[in-house]
Amino acid sequence: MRLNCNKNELYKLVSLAERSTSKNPTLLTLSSVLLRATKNRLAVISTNLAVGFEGSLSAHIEEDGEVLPPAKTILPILYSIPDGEVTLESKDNNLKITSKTSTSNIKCLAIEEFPTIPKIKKETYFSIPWEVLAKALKNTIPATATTYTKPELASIYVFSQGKSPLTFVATDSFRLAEQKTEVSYPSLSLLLPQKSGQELIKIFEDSPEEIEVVFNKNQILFQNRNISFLSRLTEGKFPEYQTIMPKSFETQAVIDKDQILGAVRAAGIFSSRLSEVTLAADEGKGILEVKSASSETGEYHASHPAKISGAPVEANFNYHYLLEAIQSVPSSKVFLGFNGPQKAVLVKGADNSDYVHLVMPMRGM
Amino acid sequence: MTNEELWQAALNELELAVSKANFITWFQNTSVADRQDGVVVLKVPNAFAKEWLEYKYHKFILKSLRGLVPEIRNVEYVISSEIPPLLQRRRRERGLSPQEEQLEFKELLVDRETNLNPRYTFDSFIVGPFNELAHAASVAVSKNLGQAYNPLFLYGGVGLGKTHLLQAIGNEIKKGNPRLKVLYTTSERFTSELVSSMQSNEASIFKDKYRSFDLLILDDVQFIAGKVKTQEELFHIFNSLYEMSKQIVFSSDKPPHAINDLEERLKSRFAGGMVADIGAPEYESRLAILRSKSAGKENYINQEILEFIASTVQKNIRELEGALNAVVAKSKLSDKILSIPEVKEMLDKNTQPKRIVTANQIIKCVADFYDVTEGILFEKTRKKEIVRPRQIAMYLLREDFNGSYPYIGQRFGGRDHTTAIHAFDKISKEVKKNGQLAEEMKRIRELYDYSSVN
Repeated sequence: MRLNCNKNELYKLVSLAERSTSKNPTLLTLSSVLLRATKNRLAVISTNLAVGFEGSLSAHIEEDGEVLPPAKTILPILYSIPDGEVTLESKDNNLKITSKTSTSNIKCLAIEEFPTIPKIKKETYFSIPWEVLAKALKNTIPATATTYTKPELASIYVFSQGKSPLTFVATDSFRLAEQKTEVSYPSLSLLLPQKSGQELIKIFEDSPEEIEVVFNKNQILFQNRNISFLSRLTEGKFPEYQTIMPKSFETQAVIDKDQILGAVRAAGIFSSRLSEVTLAADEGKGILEVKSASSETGEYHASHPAKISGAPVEANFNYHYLLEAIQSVPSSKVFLGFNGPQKAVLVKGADNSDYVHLVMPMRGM
Repeated sequence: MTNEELWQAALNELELAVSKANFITWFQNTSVADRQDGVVVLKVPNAFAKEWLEYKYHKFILKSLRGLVPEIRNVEYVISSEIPPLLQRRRRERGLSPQEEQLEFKELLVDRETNLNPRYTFDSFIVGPFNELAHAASVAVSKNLGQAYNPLFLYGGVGLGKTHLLQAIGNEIKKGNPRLKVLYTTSERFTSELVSSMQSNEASIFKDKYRSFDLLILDDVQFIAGKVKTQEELFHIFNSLYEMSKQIVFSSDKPPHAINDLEERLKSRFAGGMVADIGAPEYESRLAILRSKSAGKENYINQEILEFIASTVQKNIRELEGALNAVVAKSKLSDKILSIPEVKEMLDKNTQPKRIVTANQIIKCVADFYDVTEGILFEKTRKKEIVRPRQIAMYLLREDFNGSYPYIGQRFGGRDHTTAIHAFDKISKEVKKNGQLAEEMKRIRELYDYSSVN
């Protein structure tokens, strides 16, 4: 293999590929990235057997070929090289990288041991604009479970059915986030592992194009012109979450998003070890209160004017959960729907229900 | 040779043929899913393994299998990501985190097939004199499905653990034999399912579904009162399950004969197996419950507080737990164990207010209940249908209003205080023996609790 390419572009792809390598020492090839040069493209490939990454860049190729350098060697070497063109050359299982000022010779592994990335037949697929996918992932990932005792809760549930468009849902059983998209697909139901979701955001962040999504029973492939990312799907059934969506509210409040966000953040400073802050809404006063108190750090109290209707309510919440719920609200006004201190509060934009977040309260007085 | 033995023998051979790293990476967590007509189907953990085994090792695998069983012609691969044992070992006990104050979506814990919540088990159920019969009957049913008591009918007030027992039966059965078909449902859900199946012309699917269960648990069955079609369906489902010796378990807030607007044939069937009641827990049981619920919270609570809560909150276990949680939360916040006066102040705010009722309300509700005019209660008549309501009114005035005997006598047309004493004694004795009367009393109290709320 012999080629010239842009160092920056190569570095970017290798650093993305490195994220999908495995630190597991049993199969050393899994901690390496495969460089494959054909037809004026240089492909960078990696896998940890749960996901597979493949990205490509255009290169001036003099001789086709493949080489398998360890990720932890090639990445810092590329980082150290100044911007501009580099020459890659493989010989006797070594990779020689030459820049204007330096040469390095990296010992590589045998290509034969590198796994093949499975192919998915393009039978069921759809496309989705990157911004739409990114928003849906970012708004639901915080609500996924981080323990793996229930794999279906450590995943993002992606489904569509009949008239309802492609919808992303996640819950860790303390809160639940739902994001509807404008994409329609006849009927699908799949569970994307949370980690793969996070990876997707990083991988496609810099190339905001339309993403094509191909899937079957076990796997899902996300790809655009230059990059493809394959992930396994979680087996199992997502709980029937519609049953917990409240249909009516005892108390409703509409408040300025920045005001409540600021207040909850400040209240968080004084929350106890349990991260507990109190929200109180009173129709008579027309005020939404945010309070917290800790025996060690002190107390906080904020009153913000808000449009409130229904019975007065006071409930305690984990402020991290509230922040994450409110931050993603797409409008400048936030709607809060309460059903007493023991039931979940519903958070959404005042004029929009595409994004809905439910947060269960904490036990309190 | 069984499939396991075959694959184990093949693996031993393959282990020598490939490098150790490759063997661990690709052959771990593989097994034989199926073997038929010379075709072996291998279960592999992921798509990468499938790809690799199929393209790189297929010949090796086939050769070593053939060496063991010459008839084998081909090998196929399927992906099956049953949780590998590595992951299972990471399971941690729940509830150790400081998250214990965070409430959960309870609905999500529920098993979608059986509607059972895995948290309700016999182990976590506290047995006391007030519920030991119901508990013993439930355990007997779970040990001897369909044979011991069929149907089992549990009744008792709210928050006393009926649902817990009911679900524990289901969970115990599921644990013993996961293949048995179990369904826990409420009578309300039963009704709405019936209605929607009728709307979509799928009534037969509904019937078949309910007739297929080995254990059917129907909670809060009193709500089918007055629903004729539901009762009819339930009657038929009951009969067909019963004939096949399938277990049926019901719960209700009152005994079968006290459910109004319920067809006689259903009443008699409900009562045909075993009827067990759960009463209100007495002090010792309340204390035992509090002790078990407060395990792990010793830093915030002491024996004295538990005793105080047990003596103050008397009626129901749910309130008991609520009171305990409130006290724990408060002491966490203030970082010290609360004093008894502080606890008292909190509980006064939190627990259901004591019954506040006026003498007029009591008399009015009694008159309403027995369908007589209020005035006639005060008259000097000895007609049986008047005497009894009058005595009950007197009893309730004494019990719930704390009226003095002379006052009560005075209220009822200037009678002597001994008349009031007599009425009180008579009714208090009878209430203990006569279930019918106790039930009536409960209804009357519900009536004035209701009227005082509005």
